[in-house]
Amino acid sequence: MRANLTLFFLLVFVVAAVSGWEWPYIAKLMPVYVAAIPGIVLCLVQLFREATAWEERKGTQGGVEMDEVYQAKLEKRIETRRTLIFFAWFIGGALGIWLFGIVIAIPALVFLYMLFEGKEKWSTSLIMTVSAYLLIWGLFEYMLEARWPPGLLFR
Amino acid sequence: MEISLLDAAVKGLLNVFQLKVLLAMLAGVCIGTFTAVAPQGLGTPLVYAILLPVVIKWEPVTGIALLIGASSVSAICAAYLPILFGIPGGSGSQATVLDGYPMGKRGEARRALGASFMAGGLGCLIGTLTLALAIPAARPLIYLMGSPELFVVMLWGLSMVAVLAGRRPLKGLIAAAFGLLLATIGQQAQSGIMRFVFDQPYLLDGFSISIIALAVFGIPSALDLALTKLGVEQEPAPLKGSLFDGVKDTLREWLLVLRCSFVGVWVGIVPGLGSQVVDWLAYGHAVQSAKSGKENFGKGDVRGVIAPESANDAKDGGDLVTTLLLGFPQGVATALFIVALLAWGFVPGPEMVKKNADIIYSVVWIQGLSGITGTLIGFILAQQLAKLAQVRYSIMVPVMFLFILMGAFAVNRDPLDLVVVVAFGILGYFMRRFGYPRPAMILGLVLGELMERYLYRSMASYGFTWLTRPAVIVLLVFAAVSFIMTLRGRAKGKGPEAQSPVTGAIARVGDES
Amino acid sequence: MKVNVPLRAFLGLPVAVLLSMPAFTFAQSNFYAGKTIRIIHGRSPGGSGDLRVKSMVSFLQKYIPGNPTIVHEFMPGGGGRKAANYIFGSATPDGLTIGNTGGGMVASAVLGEKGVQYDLDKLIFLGSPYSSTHYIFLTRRGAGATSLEKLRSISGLRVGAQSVGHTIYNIGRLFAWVAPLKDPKFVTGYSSPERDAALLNGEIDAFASADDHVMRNIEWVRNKRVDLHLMIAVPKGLKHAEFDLPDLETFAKSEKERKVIALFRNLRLTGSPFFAPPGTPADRIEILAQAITKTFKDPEFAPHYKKLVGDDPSPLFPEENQRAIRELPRDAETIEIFNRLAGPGPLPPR
Repeated sequence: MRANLTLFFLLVFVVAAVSGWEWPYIAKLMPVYVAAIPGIVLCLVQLFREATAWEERKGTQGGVEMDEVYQAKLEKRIETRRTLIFFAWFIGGALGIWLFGIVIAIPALVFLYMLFEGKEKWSTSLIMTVSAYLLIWGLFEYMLEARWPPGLLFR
Repeated sequence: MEISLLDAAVKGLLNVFQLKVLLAMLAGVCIGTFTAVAPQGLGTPLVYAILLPVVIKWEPVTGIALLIGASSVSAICAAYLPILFGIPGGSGSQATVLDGYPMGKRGEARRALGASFMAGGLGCLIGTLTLALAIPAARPLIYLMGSPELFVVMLWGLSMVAVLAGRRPLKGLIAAAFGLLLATIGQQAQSGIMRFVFDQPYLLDGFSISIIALAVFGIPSALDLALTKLGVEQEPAPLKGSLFDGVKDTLREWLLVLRCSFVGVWVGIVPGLGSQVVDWLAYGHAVQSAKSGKENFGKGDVRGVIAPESANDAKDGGDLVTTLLLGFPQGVATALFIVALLAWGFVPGPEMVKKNADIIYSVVWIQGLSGITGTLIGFILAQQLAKLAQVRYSIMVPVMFLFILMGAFAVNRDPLDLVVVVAFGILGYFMRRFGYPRPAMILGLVLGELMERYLYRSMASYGFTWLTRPAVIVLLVFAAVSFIMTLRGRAKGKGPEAQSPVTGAIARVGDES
Repeated sequence: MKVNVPLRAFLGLPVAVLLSMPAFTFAQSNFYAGKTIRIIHGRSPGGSGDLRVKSMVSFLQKYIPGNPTIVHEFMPGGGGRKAANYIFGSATPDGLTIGNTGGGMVASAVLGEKGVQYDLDKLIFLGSPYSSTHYIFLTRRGAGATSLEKLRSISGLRVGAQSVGHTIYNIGRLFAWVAPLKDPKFVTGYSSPERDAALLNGEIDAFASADDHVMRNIEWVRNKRVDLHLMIAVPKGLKHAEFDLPDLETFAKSEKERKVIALFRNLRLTGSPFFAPPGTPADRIEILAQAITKTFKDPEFAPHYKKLVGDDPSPLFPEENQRAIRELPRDAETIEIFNRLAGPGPLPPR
């Protein structure tokens, strides 16, 4: 799995280098020479390290930890399940905005998530849903007169 | 000359001390605070566009009070999103997420908010003071830096990757290279060539930095809550500390506040630099210059909150230097401010300094007063807002969905933005899962385009002779020294990795760009 | 409010009959009553383009029979191409959705740029509040070009601009091509304030600019920090109130060059146009066009516009807008030359 992300970056860099190869120098310098080609080299080194479990052997001491590192404390199966559910809700929300428009989709997402995923009370869910609606519709459409685009189904 | 400016300063102050002006300022501060607290998509430019038709019918000073009140505080309260939700704030408060969110999760939300508001307020005052001092002699300021100097500063900024990459230099460099690559998508200004557009109109202007930052940081933060079912299965860290702790932190770090405020003022003054870089440059400066405890950055070091917040607020003062004293707008909001001034019959620039210096001083006073008022409002809000850190996931996660989806969608209102926010949300999740530092990627994205532009301009205008400009040489020496110091700091007693061949690769990236 | 609308319509009925309005007009006015018109902006909210449109809204509401609600949607991207694609391809042609973008959307189509999925000849153009202007070519005093002769003799003058293909870049190249300049260099990647600073600190020597920009920085001219050389008036022959500079067209040596200048003028003249999707019913187009015309003619419009935008309006009436689009020179040679001017390579041969 870890190698897959590195492979993804490698693929992106290769595609970039290939599609930018014919450009004149000024267009090519940054994306190809500064980003893509060093990126390919770095990815290959990284893949080699992953294959030989280099990081585990050498450890990762030294330097500053600049991004929170993921430390799973949950059972693997539960974690995967919850992650998938989370992304399903998120992607569902994005899809809803596309299909139904943001004015409907976001309050609906808030309501459904709270009720079914969060097991919140009806009343709490409704209050939050109304607040979300007031924010999206009341503030933007009513007060600012900036209309949100309608969803695909209402075009 | 001296006396007349002093007179103008007094007159400017008297202009402000009228009930309606103070009321307008207060209204502006409330609007600005709301703008900062509302989800992304409601920025100062939009607020100005709505207020403008109304205020130009008012008396100038009253109108100015409303507009300046709204803009001067919009940055002060912006830190609550990163601290409490782990979502980058509007541009200018993105770097705050790196240390603000870990602090919030530890139960130190009050301290972090206190520090951010205090730093923001101080930054605002320092920016205002600079504006006041610049009135007699603004012109030289803007010409200090040409494209070659700016290029070196950006290079210096990018050398921060060496720090941001942290314990995983290789992955940090990959992430930074990926960010640089993303920055080049779209039509290149210098050649007109469509880079990586693949005939997709969506990609003509490239990706929006704010959408990517929102997704890459916001989604993993929300996922964390959903995974641990915080507040239901797992108790959140109890709230500890007070706002006052943050205030004390900020006062203790007064030198950092001062330095970062100058970074902010400088970014504000230089045309073309804006809120998208100010927080990152200030954050990088804080990490590189910190004497001790460097390893705490990224884990909830209060200095990582103070630095970007003070710079972001000081920037507004710098913006006004260029806008009022030179007549150059610094972005959409200040361009609209100029429109308002023109409607009242003032021509911003040297002419206004000569003819309407009292109005300029009124702006200075209003800016300062609004900064103080905004900070106080921020403190009052923070007491309540901090409790959000305790709210259970079943309420927080949908709210975060709202902030992220609406923030992303409000930028362009394009359904494809939703695809981007989902894709980068997933990427952010995997990057975090497998130890690819996300800040390094954002840094590449933020600085990449500017670096390319400055380098091209330097070469086109000066050929290679730009390398011999005295300011360039001085800046290059500074950059090199601070870079070497950083690497030595990493190497010192911190295991073998720091001396691995990878450090050479960092230097190489620096050289080639 | 909601109660009022049917009430007003109800009371309005006998009044309308009494005024013996022709039946079909009544049917039309009925159409927009209680409806909402969406204006799709090809830009982000805030900014002068937005304000130009907003300055018209209250007038449009007044002049469209039925006084519909007017709302704004923002669809920035591709210099207006995204919004134009939407209007052409996806919007319902019912007279309730109209677009407004900068003129770049017209130029992109004529010059055959990527991402254009609309047909200019099928879109229905409805006029623009902002069309005429003057472009001025200026140099910094330090460059030493105190006269036109000197300007032409200086080699390697650095001309600054926003980006390749940007109107300001194209006009700078046009000046350099026709004037002509000796081996000019073009430096791009500046925002407009950055470019001003670069000129004053000597990083670039020259640029082309719209006259309102020069007027805002009039002290450059008064303090002799810059020299003004040439101008292009849009539309042709329009006198400038302040500066009397030779028009670039007087230096054109051939019909070919005059055609390129004409193409530039017409592209610019389209301003920030309103346009409706192809297939919108003619009677609704007529209502909209009339409302826009009446807005431009309203004596209160100009001062209102000036307050909001900071500049005088220069309206292009709907029929003029259609004509300007129709009359865009589209012969292959002119467009090819224009594309070379708008591109990154060397200037085309004269």
